[in-house]
Amino acid sequence: MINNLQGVTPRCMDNAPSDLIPGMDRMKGSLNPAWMEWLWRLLRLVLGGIFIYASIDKILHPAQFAESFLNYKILPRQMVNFFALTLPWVEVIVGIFLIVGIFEWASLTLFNGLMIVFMTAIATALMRGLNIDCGCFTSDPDVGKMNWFTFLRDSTMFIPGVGAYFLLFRLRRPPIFKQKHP
Amino acid sequence: MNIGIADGISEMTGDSRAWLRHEVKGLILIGALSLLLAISVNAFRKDRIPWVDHRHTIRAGDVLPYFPVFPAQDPFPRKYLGLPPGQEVVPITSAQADLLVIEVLNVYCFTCQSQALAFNQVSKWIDKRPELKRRIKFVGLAIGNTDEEVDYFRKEYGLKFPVIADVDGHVPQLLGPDLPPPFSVYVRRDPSGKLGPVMATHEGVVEDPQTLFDALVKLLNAESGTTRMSKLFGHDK
Repeated sequence: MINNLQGVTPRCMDNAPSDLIPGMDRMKGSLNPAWMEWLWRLLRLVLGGIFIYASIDKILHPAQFAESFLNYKILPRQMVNFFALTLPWVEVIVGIFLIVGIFEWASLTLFNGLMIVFMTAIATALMRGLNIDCGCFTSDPDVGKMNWFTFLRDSTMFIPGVGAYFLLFRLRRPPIFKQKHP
Repeated sequence: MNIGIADGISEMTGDSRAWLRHEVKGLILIGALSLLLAISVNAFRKDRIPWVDHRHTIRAGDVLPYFPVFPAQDPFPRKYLGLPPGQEVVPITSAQADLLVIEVLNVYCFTCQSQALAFNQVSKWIDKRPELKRRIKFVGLAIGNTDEEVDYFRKEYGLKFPVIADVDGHVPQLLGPDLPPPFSVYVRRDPSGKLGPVMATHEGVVEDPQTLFDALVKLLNAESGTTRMSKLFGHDK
């Protein structure tokens, strides 16, 4: 009976005190099974790890990253240094927050927001015919020029990022999304 | 289904407001921590900002920015500049020279053609002097031109120094977006042995090879620092 309820969340139980209904804790647990929690942890680890890994080279070689950043011709020159300086650290902090599991919604939103920015930058650069290196994981010019495969690679990282929202929604539904009762 | 975002801030429950406040705090914390770390770590760096110069045109006293060149199929630029083999892209500062003269040009600009011919003559004189041959090198960077145009230009004028087409538009980005060709940049080797400090720049053409030659020798023998080329060229007494 309880298993049949999976996927259909009884909203009336969300805010109900657990001690009012016997066995409610068990019922809630079955709606958000342990594998979901583990999958969420794994996703956090992977997404956070990607961001931390991507930031290392940018932090170690800021001048090269600034040049890669400049090549996109998106921001005015005056702003390139500031973004080249801070962006890798945003990636680090978002990565750490995701792995540790604090401010989950905020860090996941920033992850996805940054992925959208990166993908847009790559797509617009390719559409403008810019023959530049991506600067995504390394600013080493020997790595090669970016192409649509680079965009595809970023998309494959963005998809689990979006998927993570559904998981997080099931696991820790924000009160703002909960049903209002008269 | 009666599920969705609350119908407005005013109708939010206390829990919703607390959750929203918590996540906004998270965003602010991420921003603040990132900024703090970025500024702190930068303070301990040797190569601090600005990495990308805000000024429009490079000038004496600057350090030549990281400047990739793509001497792809043509082995001549590699051989002449002594660039390391095996890499597709190499920084121009890898050139084996004590004084590197960069001429920013466009093959269709008449004054650039005159300047290239003058540099070519000087290059020939330098090649005949073993004490200078390995120390002074020339390189042309052709903005807005293709490899084919540059090849034709070099053959047409019999240039003895390499001219590299700036296909990717690095020159305007790194040396100055409003850079007017012909524009020369004179780069010296610093005391640590690294090619980089810009000793002088010059806008416009100097057609007399002897004046150019004398100026280059003076630059080569000068102590580190900056020099006004117009003074060396006799424009500025």
